[in-house]
Amino acid sequence: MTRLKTRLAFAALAFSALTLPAMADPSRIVGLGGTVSEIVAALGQDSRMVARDSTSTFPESLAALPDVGYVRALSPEGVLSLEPDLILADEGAGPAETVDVLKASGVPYVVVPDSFAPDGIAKKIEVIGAALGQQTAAAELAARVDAGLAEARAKADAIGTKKSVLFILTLQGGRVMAAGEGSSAEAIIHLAGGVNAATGFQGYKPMTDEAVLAAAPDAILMMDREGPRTVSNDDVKALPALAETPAVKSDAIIRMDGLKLLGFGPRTPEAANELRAALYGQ
Amino acid sequence: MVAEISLPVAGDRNARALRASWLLVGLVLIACVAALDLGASSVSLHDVIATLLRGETLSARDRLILLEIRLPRLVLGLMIGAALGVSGALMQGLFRNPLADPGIVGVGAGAGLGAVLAIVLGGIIGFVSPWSVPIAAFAGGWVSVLLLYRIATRSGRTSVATLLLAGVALAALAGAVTGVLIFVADDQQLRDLTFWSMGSLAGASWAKAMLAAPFILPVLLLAPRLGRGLNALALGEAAARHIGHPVEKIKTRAILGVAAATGAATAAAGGIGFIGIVVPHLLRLSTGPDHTRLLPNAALLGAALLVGADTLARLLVAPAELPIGIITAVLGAPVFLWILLRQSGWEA
Amino acid sequence: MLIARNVSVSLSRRPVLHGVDFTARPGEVTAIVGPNGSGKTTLLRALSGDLHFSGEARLNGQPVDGTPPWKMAALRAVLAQATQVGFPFTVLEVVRLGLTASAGRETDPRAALARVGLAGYEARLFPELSGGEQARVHLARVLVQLGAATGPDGPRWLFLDEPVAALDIGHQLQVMQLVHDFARQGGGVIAVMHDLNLTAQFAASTALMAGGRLVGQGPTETVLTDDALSSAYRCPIRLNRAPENGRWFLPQMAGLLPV
Repeated sequence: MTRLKTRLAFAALAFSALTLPAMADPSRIVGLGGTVSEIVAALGQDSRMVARDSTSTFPESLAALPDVGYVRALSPEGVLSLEPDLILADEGAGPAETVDVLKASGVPYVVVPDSFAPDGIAKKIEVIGAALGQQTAAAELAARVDAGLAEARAKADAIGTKKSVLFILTLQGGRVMAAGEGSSAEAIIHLAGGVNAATGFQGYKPMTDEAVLAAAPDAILMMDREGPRTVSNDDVKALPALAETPAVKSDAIIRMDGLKLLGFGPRTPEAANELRAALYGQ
Repeated sequence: MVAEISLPVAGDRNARALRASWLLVGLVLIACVAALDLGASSVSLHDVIATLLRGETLSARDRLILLEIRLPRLVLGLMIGAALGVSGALMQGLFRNPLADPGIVGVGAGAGLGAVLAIVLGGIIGFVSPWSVPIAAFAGGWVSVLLLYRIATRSGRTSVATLLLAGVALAALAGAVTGVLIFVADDQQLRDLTFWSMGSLAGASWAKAMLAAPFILPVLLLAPRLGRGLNALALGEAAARHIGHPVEKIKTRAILGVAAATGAATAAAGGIGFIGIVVPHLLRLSTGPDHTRLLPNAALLGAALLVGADTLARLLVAPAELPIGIITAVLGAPVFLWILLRQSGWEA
Repeated sequence: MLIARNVSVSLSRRPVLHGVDFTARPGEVTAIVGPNGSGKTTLLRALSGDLHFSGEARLNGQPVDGTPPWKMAALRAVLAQATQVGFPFTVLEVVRLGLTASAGRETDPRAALARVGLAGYEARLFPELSGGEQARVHLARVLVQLGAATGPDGPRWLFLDEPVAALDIGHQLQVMQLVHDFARQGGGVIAVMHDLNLTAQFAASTALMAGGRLVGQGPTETVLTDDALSSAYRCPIRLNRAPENGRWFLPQMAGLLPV
């Protein structure tokens, strides 16, 4: 291992010496992580990107860029083949071996802290802004997002009777995989002035039918997926456990884009507003 | 190695198997060149050689891609492919069953459980290291093999039937524990698990190759020495003993060899299916079941196939890559079905 | 010499062999006969080292249960009933399996095949042969394993479990003649037999078993008597002696007319 590290360090040294001039103004950026790429675009810098991972789906202009694969199953050569001069990576990018090689390649590798809560968004923007040399624009964007979040919170606090929302990740085989306490979905529900209907467990777990009935959610929230895995509203209503919930009876099934809803990026205030509007009609 | 020169004798497939060996060596070399030459980035062997011939040095980036990315991945791929091919041949010989695979002795189930433990529990206790999954997978594979071996061994004799049945039970148990862990896993860990189970060489490094080598290389070198014993075992254990083979030793060595080689392969690259079944089977169809020839040839064909499949995995959706398990399954499953249909006489 | 003293075997805790004393000399064929379930095969398997037994059994002075497999393999070869072969080996490859432990023996696998009447079968796939052909391939394999009938360490032995059961009468006679020749050259042969005619014709010595016990052993003509056979097989049996040389019998239910 020591030998490997030495060799990698040596390669890194040699490589960084070569690429150092380009670092000042990176123009071949690889964005790894949906929110990371989204922030780059929000700073108006997406034209400097040369590649993205498969979770980077917004804005649509990114779709034209080469896809280096799923953010947690990257291959080092795939990323390096695009000859990047800056890699902006979500903290969760992997596998670890690939990240090691990428870091050793001499291409500046900037880790963007992973956060599935509103408070972490400004930090993400700040880190990315600094890496792009866009500190001013980043500060403006962060301030705008924070203002949006504050406004959303204020509106949420003003709501008297809060509705309970059940976030359903998947409905595989009729089993409700719901978002519990401490989940990213719970954070956005709170921000939108709702309460999480699913309590008593952490993260995303399958819920028994009886627990779903007992939770009696006022609304059901789902991700808007495309393709054959999409669960239609009729599928949701057809499930016995869900059919008896107030949500289905009042036809309150809300669908939102997954990255927007759970990515905790620049669009989070917008997502909160959209969700609140869907819940309370205001 | 001195090639035996023998006149073709009716019913003697040695010469044919030897020719196949040379052919396979060529195939491995072609696979190696392709693996070093092709990739998502534009570095090609041709350019590298041209550069070196001009007396220039390689750029640091080219060096990194060749020496730290493609080469360790090639070395690991060769070892893993050979390990899977040989393990399959050993298991099929031991169980006298062309459909046996290393999974039968519990390596897969145990390694899978180890990997899940590392991914999920590691996440819970906050211990995440690039080494935790491979090491846990290897340990899981070994523990389950040793457990099975102990269960199946009574007064110095290992019952192959008990091994088989206990393997089914152990796999079910490991599956149940894995299920519990999957239940507590979060979304991200689930994706990690899915990718692990499909196998990939994307995490290859020199360090990984060096860790796997001491478990795989001795097995590759020593396995052919079990060939005569496995041939005799085709007559059954009693007959093999009557001919003079130390049957219990052969069984122990084959099982431990498979545990070491498959365990290390699974730990380094996750679950890669079909190589272990398809490779020995194809060889048997072309050069007969003689294990003294089958075992080395299975190492060669396994290595060539895995490196070839990995090259495809790297190229097909470049700059992203496919899990190699998908490629081996897509290539292996139809071959496997074809073999089955042939055997059941659907084809003249 | 093969000398077994007080050999008892239990299978699944049920005793199936009760203190058998059995001896066999080289230079002649020793048959083990008796009704189904009388313990013939069990005795042969115990002597082959396949079953745990109490008592003592030595072959050329070596204990059959404590001697390493390679050493026993140089001393005796075992032909079991209907041995399956796990993979599609060719006939030549199956016969060569007998060579593995005794490399250097001079017997040519192809010559052995010719001796069992299977010359030209080398390239055929074993699983595609008839039952009788498969039995003769295995016989060629055990002949190859032993090489000659005697060696520096004394006579070599063939342990045969119903060697002719799957064969037509022509091949029965051919195989028994071959086995008989092996004994005449100084080797030892112990054969579990069902056919009393062939036993009478080729075995100089016979052991008669019934109910897990040895009920008679000695020269074949003294063991195979109307009374002993009738009692062992629980069926009235009468033997007809061949008029010319007295070498064949036709056992027949007492009271029925010869056809």
